[in-house]
Amino acid sequence: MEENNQQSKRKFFETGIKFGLIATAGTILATKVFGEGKSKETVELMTTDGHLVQVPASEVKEFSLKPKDYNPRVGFPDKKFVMVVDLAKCKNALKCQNACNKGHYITGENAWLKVYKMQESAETAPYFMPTQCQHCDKPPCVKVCPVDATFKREDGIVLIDNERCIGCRFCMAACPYSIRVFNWKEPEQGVIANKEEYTPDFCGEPSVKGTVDKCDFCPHQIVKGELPFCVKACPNDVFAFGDMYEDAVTNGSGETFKLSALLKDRAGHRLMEGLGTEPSVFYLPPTGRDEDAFEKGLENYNEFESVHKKE
Amino acid sequence: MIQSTIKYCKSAVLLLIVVFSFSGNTAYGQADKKSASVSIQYSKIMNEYSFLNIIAKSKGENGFEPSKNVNFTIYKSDTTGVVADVKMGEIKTNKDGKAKFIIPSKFVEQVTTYKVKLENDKIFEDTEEIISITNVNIEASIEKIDSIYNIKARLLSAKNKPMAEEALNVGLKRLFGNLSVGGEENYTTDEDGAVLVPIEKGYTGINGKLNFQVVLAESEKYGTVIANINTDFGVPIVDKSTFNERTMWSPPTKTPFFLLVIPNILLIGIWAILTLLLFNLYKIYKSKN
Amino acid sequence: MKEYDKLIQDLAPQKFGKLGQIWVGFLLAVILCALYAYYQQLSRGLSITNLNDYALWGVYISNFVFFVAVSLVGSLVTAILRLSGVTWSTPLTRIAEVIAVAAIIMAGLTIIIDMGRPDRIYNIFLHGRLQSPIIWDVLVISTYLTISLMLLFYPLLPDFAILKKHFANQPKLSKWYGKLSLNWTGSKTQEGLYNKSINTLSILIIPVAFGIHTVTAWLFATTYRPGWDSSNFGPYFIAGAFVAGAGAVVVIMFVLRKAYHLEEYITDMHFDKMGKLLVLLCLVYLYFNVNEYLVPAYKTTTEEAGHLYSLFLGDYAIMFWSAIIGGLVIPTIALLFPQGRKPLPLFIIGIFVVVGAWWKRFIIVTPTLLHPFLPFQGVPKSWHTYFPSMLEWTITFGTLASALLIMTILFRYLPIIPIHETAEEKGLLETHKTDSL
Repeated sequence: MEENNQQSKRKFFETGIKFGLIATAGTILATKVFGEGKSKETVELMTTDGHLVQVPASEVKEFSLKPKDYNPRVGFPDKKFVMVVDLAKCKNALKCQNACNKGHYITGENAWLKVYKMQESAETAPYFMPTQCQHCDKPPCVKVCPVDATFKREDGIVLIDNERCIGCRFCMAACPYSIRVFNWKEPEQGVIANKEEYTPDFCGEPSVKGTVDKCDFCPHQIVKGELPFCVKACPNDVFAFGDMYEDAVTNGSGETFKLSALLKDRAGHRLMEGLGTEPSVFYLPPTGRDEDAFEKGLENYNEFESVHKKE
Repeated sequence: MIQSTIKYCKSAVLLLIVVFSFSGNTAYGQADKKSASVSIQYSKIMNEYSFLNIIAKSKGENGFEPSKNVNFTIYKSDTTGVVADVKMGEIKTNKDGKAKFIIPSKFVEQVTTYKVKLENDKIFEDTEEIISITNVNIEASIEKIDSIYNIKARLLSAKNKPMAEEALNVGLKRLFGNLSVGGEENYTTDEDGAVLVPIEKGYTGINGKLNFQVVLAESEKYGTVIANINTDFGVPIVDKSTFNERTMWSPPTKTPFFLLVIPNILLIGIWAILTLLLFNLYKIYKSKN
Repeated sequence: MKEYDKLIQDLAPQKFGKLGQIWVGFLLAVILCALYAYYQQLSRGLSITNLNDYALWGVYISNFVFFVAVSLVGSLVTAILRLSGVTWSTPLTRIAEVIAVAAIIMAGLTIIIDMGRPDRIYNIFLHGRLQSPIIWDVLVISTYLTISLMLLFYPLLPDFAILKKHFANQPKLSKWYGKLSLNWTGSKTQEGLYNKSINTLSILIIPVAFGIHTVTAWLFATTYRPGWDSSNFGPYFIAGAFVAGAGAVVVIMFVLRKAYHLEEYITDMHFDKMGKLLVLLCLVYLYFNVNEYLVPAYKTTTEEAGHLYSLFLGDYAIMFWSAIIGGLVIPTIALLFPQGRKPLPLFIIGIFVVVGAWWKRFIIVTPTLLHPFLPFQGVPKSWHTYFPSMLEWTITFGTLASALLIMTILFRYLPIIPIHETAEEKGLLETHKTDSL
């Protein structure tokens, strides 16, 4: 009796739950999934006409932004990536810098993301300003590259092809934000996790001697639907990252904001706007901070070091 | 005397072998294994499937590190202890120490207890986590009232009873998170278990498609329940990049015309003259008198 | 007849004496050290230099700019003076052209030395972007090299024919000179082609020479940096190039005159004339320097102020003022006096000018890079200053020695003073022809 009751209960809930569309199977498989899964696990799902199918679990698991014909030089279609940096929140915790250094296996003495101690004049307030590649819409670095080794993608990200770069460093001379670094010697990166085929999508994996590196806006994170390392690591939610066409940016805590409203309310600006580079990074002014916020941040400040070396 | 020494040596050697075999064989000693901290979270996507998110971490040199490639066995458990655990499947954590286990629908009941077990791992101690979830549903739809689109959502128990005073998040799915719709972070269900949220104009989406999500977020009893509403009344996204134009920052295939024409004309002109002059040298070489 | 023979005797290439051999040996030793240093650079990367992410261009680039500058002298002496109908410069045309060719070859090699990945140089041809000033530089440098080689070779044709006869007792040498003379007999057809070609080359080389150094200037002027962001840079560089080139000619003509006993052909008059030319060029360059430094100093925008301070009063003050005063002002003053234009004084002034020109380019390249827009933070203290390392210096001296070696070898086998043209000017050709009938 118990058994029968349980059986019928089960059946009831089965049908109740299994009215799944495989729009599931249809949609998920159609929406650009490429699975890394080599496991043979399958999931039992029901099609629209009531058949039960075993779908490889891998195809229902991983999310990927890459279309079938993904080209690293073109990027993710119909997107324009932007970053918002809230200077009012930055306390020079440097977690962003550390996460970026670690995530990209940076071994030189110059980090790709640096938090500058800024003070434009003696009368104006000092503040901390995290600065990485601005992924300009009119990038001076891309203009001068003789071999098309650094390039601007359709989704706005500026990347470097370390297999083509000839190391002339013209891009470094042209960049007014000084965010590019050069591999002056063989980078001692040790064993790099995920050593797959080289792609410009993951700068620093590996770094190549005699070529240029810089912040890549983490396409290797974006493809998984995850935020760049710096955005995730910041304990004060200084960074927010997103797609300008979606008019939304998300910070490390997962809060999503309407970009246009944020820039309007907080009077966002860009660095060196007058140079006409049209950066993709917006800064929110350092207003409304605590009295001693800047002083506290000085504890962490090191004028001569941006990459911590293991002793 | 010699015989006793030999006997003593033999037992000493035997003792050493036993000691080494114990210290070498980690499968025996639990003391050498690390302890992993495991957390599980239950999520249900309406009209699709339910899954368990498993996150495994262990204390390493620099704080907590993800526990990669750890095998977990997932059971459907019975808290009354009457029925034995039913194995639902196995899964391995990825390089971020995370695993997503999709629960085969036949195991889902009104109240289901899930047990995630880590056992017989070479590096980690045996451990298990249990979570009990009461099954609830969200019905979500779009209603147009006075030419404004609204999201209507109802939180219902498994027996279709409305559930009041629960907080639902209503958001527009964006790439890295959900943008709250209607101005509030969350909305409380009324006695009908319903919320009604207006959708402001101007949201953009690819081909105008907007995916709204009504979410019961991380409830202890119910887990996370997500209802997706796909619409297409958004503003279509227009790509405004200069990627396909001929610009100074384009690849060589898209060089501005000015640069293609003028320098090449100059070069061709000059090199044509140089070629003729080289030919003159040949003519000098060939001239007879 | 006798005069003509004497002319050939005086101007024909001679074997190296003891001094010549020691000189070549010395140059080869320097080059060997440089090759070893470059091997170190290839295996260990550019970390053997003192370059860093801020001082990212250093002595290799300033050396490259120097070579491009000196190479312009070919167009100046050989082309511009020739087209203006000047005849006193005839004995100096070959010297100028040899310097130009050696300099432009070394410019091409020096820029490769600065590359982080020279093994990928083919990418320039496979994936070259016409939007990049570096590609423009590659195109004009190869064009200029071709024109310079032709402008060196054409006037050599009659001289090679003469030398073929002169070295009749050295069959191998004679054969080579014969081959290179391309069957030159001085016929009407040949003379016609010869004159037309040299005229065309002389006209063509001027815009290309202007192009080569303007484009090199644009490698800096197309960036936003203070000290480089100047609309003045093209003409400024060209004016400086003529000064450096003229100085080089003065130095080398003095050395060659002494070494090969050419006092009859390179006379005091020639020094006086070159001195006047040099002072004129220095004055023009001084004018451009005034424009380049005083105008930003008047405005003192934030970025420019820091940069100018380091040049006028700061870290680079000694280098800056030595190059300007020692390399430009004092030579100008000295050259305004006839005594300053005598051979030996002019030679010394020439050395000052050339060395000053070399340091001036160092001042143009690196100080700007040490004044970035954003604060100079997050990098080791040693990165705030730049001075080349030993290996960097070795390689640089190697390039200079290579340029001198190329010149030495060319001067060894080519008549330093154009024989045919000199004879033509002295009216010896007619008598030679009538005598041989």
